[in-house]
Amino acid sequence: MVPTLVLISLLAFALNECTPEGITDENRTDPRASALERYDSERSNFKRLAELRGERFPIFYFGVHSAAYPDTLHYLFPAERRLAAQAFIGRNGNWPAIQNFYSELEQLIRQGLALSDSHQSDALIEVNRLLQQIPIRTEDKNIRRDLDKIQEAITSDTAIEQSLGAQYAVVQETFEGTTANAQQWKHYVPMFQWNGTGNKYHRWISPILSGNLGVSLVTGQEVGERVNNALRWTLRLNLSAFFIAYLLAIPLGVYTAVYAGSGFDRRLNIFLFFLYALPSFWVATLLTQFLTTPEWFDIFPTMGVGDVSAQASWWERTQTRAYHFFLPVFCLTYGILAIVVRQVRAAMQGILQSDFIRTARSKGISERRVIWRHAFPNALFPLITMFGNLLPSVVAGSIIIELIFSIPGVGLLTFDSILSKDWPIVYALLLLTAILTVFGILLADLLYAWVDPRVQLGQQKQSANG
Amino acid sequence: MAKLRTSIREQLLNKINQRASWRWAKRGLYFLLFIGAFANFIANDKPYYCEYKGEWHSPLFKAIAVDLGLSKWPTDQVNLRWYEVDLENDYWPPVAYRPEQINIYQKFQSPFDDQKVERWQFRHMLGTDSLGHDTLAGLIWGTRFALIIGLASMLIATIIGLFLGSMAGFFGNDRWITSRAQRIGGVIGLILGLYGGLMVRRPLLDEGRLAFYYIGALGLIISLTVLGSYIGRRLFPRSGHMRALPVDDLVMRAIETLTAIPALLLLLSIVAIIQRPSVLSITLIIGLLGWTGIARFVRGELLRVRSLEYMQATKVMGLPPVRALFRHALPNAMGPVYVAIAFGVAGAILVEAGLSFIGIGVPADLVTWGKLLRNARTSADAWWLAIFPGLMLFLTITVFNLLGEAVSEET
Repeated sequence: MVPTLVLISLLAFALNECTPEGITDENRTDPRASALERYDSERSNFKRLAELRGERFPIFYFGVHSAAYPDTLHYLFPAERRLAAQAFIGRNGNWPAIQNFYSELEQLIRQGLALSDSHQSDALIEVNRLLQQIPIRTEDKNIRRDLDKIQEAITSDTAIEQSLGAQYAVVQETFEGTTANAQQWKHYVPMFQWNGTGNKYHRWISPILSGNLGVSLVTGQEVGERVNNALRWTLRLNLSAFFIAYLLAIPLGVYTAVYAGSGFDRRLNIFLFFLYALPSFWVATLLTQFLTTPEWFDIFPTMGVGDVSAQASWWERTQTRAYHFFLPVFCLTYGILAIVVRQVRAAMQGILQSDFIRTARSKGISERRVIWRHAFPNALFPLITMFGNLLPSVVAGSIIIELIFSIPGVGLLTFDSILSKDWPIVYALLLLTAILTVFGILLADLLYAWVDPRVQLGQQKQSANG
Repeated sequence: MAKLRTSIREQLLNKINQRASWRWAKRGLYFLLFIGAFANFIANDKPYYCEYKGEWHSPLFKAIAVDLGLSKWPTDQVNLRWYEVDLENDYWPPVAYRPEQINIYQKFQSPFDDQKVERWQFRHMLGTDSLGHDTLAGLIWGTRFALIIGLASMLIATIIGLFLGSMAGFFGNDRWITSRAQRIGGVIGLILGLYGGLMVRRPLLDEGRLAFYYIGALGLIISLTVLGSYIGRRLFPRSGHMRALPVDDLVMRAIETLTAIPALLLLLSIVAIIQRPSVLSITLIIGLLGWTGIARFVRGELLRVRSLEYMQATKVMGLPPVRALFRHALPNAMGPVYVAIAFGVAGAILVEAGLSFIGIGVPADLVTWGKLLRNARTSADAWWLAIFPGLMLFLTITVFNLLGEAVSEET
């Protein structure tokens, strides 16, 4: 179980790392500040944001990379610059030279911006524009073209040439240096690096493990509280659906197994077959359209879980909830019903043909007692396993049903978080539901072993039970 | 002499032909495939044949040639709306609309409304939505995408599931016995493959050649591992310490991990990352997540088959295990797999419809059944928008479920 949980957490973390950057906060700078000050404040802003997201940390406890890449690549902000640098390294492999080029370039950019305070010309504007582009250029020929254009602009204006010419020559030289001294062999030399606990994965998983799901990027709310509320609604909704489905399915399944082949059995079988194929979100759409709108029949409330005042009695509260839950629970129930009836029927049928049932009958025990006391408890075991298999849907809820009926459960929360690009919530939810599911399945296994003493846990399963 | 071996196709057809409902499912499948394949010819805003300005044209066929890059429109016809100009002797498809075509004069047309149209082909037989999109055209084109996504994603899932499931079931935890030299060679090969595939080739990733990078890496990892263990065996043929690889445990662990995460939640959180969704991306994701069912079935069946006597015979005869697996064991374990595939296609179509109903992960310009159903939610009195797309989905799922049931029948 532990390896499964670790794998799940790695999967959720990897997905979390792949998300596009969600929030970029607006860059508030003083409009009266000089160009250089604005540039610096922008840079420090990137740095602050990256710090906030914890981007300065390496990804995992250890890392293996080729010698061409530095282990400090994640210090480069923003992401466009990092991508450009990565592409650059990919072509030439000599990071020291590339780093040299970038730092000389940075100096030139700052000099150019500083000059724009005292000197104004179209050429300088052009130079500054081109200079800002170079750090995010991903191809050599584009960088070279930009550099050539800058040279043209610099030589056209003597004032610019005086103050920037020297540094430009250095930049030009270092750039040529990177391509001239390409060290492709470095790509083939492995480097191993140990990061300790100062890594993104550790920083992501440890608060979650200690029960703190973090703070929503969008609302600034505690994630844990929202998830808690959502989970409560989802469990209420799904458990009532399961309860009703099992309540109906057990008598139906037992009855059809006892009277297998009867007309009722065959008709029910066909009915369940079609029920199973009915997409629940279609049924939900139809129900909301025809039973909750004034255009047709306005019988049920359209959405939500209903407002209940704090002083309301228990009975009133239940009434309101039942009124609001009726349609969504119905949509969830019929699908489960179709599966469970078939399972109960198959299990019962198998057991009714076994020897001990024949023995019980030959002893003269009443048929009712044979069915409910001897056969049925044995048919219950597959139901427990099946409940374990259906657990993921209990915890995660049916996203679409929650969406259609606006029930503020886990599904709706996930959907909203995805739409607002609130990734921490999405992947915390993914991890949380998976963990709950794994524990649920474990619980089902334990329950199984408890009710059926023939099952021994901890033994290597050699049978063919997928 | 009676034919001993019947082809798989014959066997399946024999099963399906046993009951009337299954035969209807078969016809239903053919019908859906026909609609999907010929959607262009059934619902299109261009006529098959017409005479325009004294010359004859066949714009529908021309459009297909243009899409294939074989031909070009003359400049005056590039954006020509053939349904607005005066044509003579024009022959139209049975539904003279494309699903994305907007008809602002006929919003929210009910199927029973009095529609003033020149020809019966221009009637909105199943009504229109808030922008005047023709529902029937949407259903016809939706069939195409539902089938493409359902079948292609199950193809991917089947390939992965068959491979992993048969490895797990055939070798179990005890049959793939390796010597120490083989294991060490394999591990060295694996490490080299991982490093070479993922690190040395990393510049490809930064250049954005993702598919080439990942497929190449996978190939390199597998081939170097195999090569490493082969070299290990050849160099040290008498190396001892025979141990079995826990193939079954590894595969089952992967399946456990994937199934522990609620399926739709996992799907959504993967799909949400993709910045520009396409038919390919959604097919790949559904396929890459959907193999666990098939793998379990194959595994269970192979665990049974491998202990049968004829498999012992292959061992006695000295057949290499790979040949025994693929030629003798797997063909006899395929029965449950067909069932899983049939139900899997239904499941994949349902998932795709669900995603487009939610509106996440499906390209914006694609018309699917789920999207049509979604439109219904904004307009309560347009009953035709709610009923027909769902009905189509329901019938398609029923067809595949019936086929699955037919195939699962013991003969």
